[in-house]
Amino acid sequence: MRATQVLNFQSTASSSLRRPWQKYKNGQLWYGFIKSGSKRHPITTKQGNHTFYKGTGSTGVGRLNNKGQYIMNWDKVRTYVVPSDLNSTELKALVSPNTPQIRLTTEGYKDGIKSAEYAFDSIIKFVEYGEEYDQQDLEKQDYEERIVSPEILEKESAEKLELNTSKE
Amino acid sequence: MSWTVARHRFKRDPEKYTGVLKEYWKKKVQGTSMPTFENFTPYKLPKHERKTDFQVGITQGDLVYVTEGEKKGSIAKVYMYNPEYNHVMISDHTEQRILPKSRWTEGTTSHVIDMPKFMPLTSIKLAGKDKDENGKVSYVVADEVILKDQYYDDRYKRWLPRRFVKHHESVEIPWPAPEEVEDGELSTKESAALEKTWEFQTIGQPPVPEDALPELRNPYSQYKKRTLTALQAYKLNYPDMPLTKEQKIYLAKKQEQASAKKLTPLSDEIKEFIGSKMADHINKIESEAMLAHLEGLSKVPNPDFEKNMAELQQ
Amino acid sequence: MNIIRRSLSSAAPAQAVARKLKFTGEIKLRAPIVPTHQNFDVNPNHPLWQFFPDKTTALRESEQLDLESREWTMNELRRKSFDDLHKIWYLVLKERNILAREVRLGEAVYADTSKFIELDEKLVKVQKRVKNTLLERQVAYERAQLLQEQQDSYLSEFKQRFINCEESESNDYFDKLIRLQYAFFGIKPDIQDFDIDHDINVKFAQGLSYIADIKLQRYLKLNPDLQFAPLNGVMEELPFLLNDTADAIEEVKALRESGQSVKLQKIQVLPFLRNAIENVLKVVENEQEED
Repeated sequence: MRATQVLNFQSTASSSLRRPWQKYKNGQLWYGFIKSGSKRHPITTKQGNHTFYKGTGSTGVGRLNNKGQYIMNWDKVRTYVVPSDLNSTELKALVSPNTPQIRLTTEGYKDGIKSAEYAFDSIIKFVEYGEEYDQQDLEKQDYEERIVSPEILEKESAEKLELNTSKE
Repeated sequence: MSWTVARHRFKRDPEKYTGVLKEYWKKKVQGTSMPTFENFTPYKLPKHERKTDFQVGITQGDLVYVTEGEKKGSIAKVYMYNPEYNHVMISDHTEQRILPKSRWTEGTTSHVIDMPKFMPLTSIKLAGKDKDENGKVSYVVADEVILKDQYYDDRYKRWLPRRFVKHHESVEIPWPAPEEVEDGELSTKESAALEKTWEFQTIGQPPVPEDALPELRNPYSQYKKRTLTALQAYKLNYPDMPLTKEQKIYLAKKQEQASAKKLTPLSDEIKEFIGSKMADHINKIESEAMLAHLEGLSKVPNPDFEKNMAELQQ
Repeated sequence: MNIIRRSLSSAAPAQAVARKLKFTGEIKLRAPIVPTHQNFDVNPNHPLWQFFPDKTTALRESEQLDLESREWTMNELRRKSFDDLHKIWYLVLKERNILAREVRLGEAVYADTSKFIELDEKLVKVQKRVKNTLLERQVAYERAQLLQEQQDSYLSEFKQRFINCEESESNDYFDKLIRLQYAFFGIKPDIQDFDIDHDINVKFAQGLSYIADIKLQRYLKLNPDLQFAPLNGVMEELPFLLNDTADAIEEVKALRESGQSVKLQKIQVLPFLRNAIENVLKVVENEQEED
């Protein structure tokens, strides 16, 4: 082991050894336990000799200068937006097992929830009727949420009217 | 957990072997352990093949008729269905196994323990209790079960299919009563969970900021079909080799002949000739089965016939 | 100030002996403090305690885990706003961090971590579902952009109704217009909610011209005597968004008389709008400060 020049604090060279108990060469590697990697797998950061460097794609937050110092670029550093009222919400990570599971059925829309027509019909309803335009009492409907296109609704209402008139 | 990568990267995984290699490996491994430790856990189903108990038709608390093994013919109660192994744990079906000390729970004194047996679904059949008018209890065992007609089950608090016995669909085996469960520390209350705080209000603004979209969708996904513009397609495909003089002459001649050739309808003479030949051949057939077969064939409509006729007319 | 002289290492001990320590007499040696956790006093409100749900143990028993609760279903998550989904994501993330720490520790002490991993799989599902709901909404939004014909026909039909509506209905219709400008063009009702970088785009400009046109037409219908040339460009349309129709008309007249009203080129439109709205916001802020 080559000891670096001791300039401050340490009184002897051996006290600044990387492994102080290793005072002579015995074949122990500087870094890692094997210089070569497994030939059947891609090499990881834990293999290779002391000059082998493999990044993990995790820190692109600065650059190395010619003196070997890493200069941080704080614009590149990741920040996470955590909601401020995390401790005061009633929401939790999971749901109570006694909560009913809603069933969603779509009628009249080919692509269901993701269809363009449903989005368009929804915003028209919002414009015409305002917020909370789609109030469904799920308890009465046995927790079945029905998404029906306006044409089918018209047909249904027409049928209902017919039934009522026929009853009378 | 997703961060323990090294465990499966540098380790042999016999579960991923297929076919003959898997059988070979199982045999090899079997010889290394005592017979009592054999088949400690049965074959694990791959994740995409696993089904929930409501999809399979058996759940905790059901009655079951055992069709294989020593206690064949008895009725037992299901303790749980395990989707990983597609097995069921039922009452009164245990086997004695040797348990090493590292797996002992509190209070065990001996190495031999009664462990519930993993019963595959092939060795059991669903059963239901039936009470007559007199109050006599009998069991109905379903060979196969059909799941249809969704309904809202208030005990399970969800929509479930009804279970009917196959070929006897008037006989329904209802789902058993579930155990009562209490809320845990991670449970949101019903009122907070079902509260509606969002509805579709705008198509003028994207619901997800543009910069955040790559988090949801991989823009470089190799699994997605990517369409090329006409220009890109033109640039990526090599141009056709220009035709030589000889090729051009050949193609021109071929086109002349093609245009010259025309399909003409058959004359009556030819039709009669073909018909008579066919009649002779068919009249020689004596086997009735063959004749019936030919009758059937002649009745099968040929879709190409009309196409060809249309072409001919043109 | 003492100057630190750099010297050879061999000289250091000699120098140390030469310079006497001044406080030798008053130092009282004590027994070394062994670094065990019992000797540490930790603030009970330290943020790292969030990794330890039970402050008495580092690793909970499998029975202490909440295995009864179920994951959020897609239908439940579809009803939640962006902020609620954000909260659920972080609540789940925090739980997963705790479990990851416990699993790592459990594997080191050969504990049974199967229940921890089971709970973690439930939490992962919730996170995947949150992502999926956002993606569903995005897909629906993108598909709705293709319904240009239907949008245009509805807008023209609404325009007719708005212009021809009666006095009693006019309040309703103005409310509808505010909702329409948000629904079709993404123009928020409250100017202080505007995100100047992202909200002011081509749709904003289109919406602005629609609103200005529709309001002006109605005003002209109610006051047929008024002589007013058609609106010319964004400069004249903007006042109709920020003020009432009557005030807007006065502003536009003033602009025209002063000669400042210019039909902007396409490339100048959006920067002008951003600038104008920033100025309006500043004015509003100053007014609030004064109050």
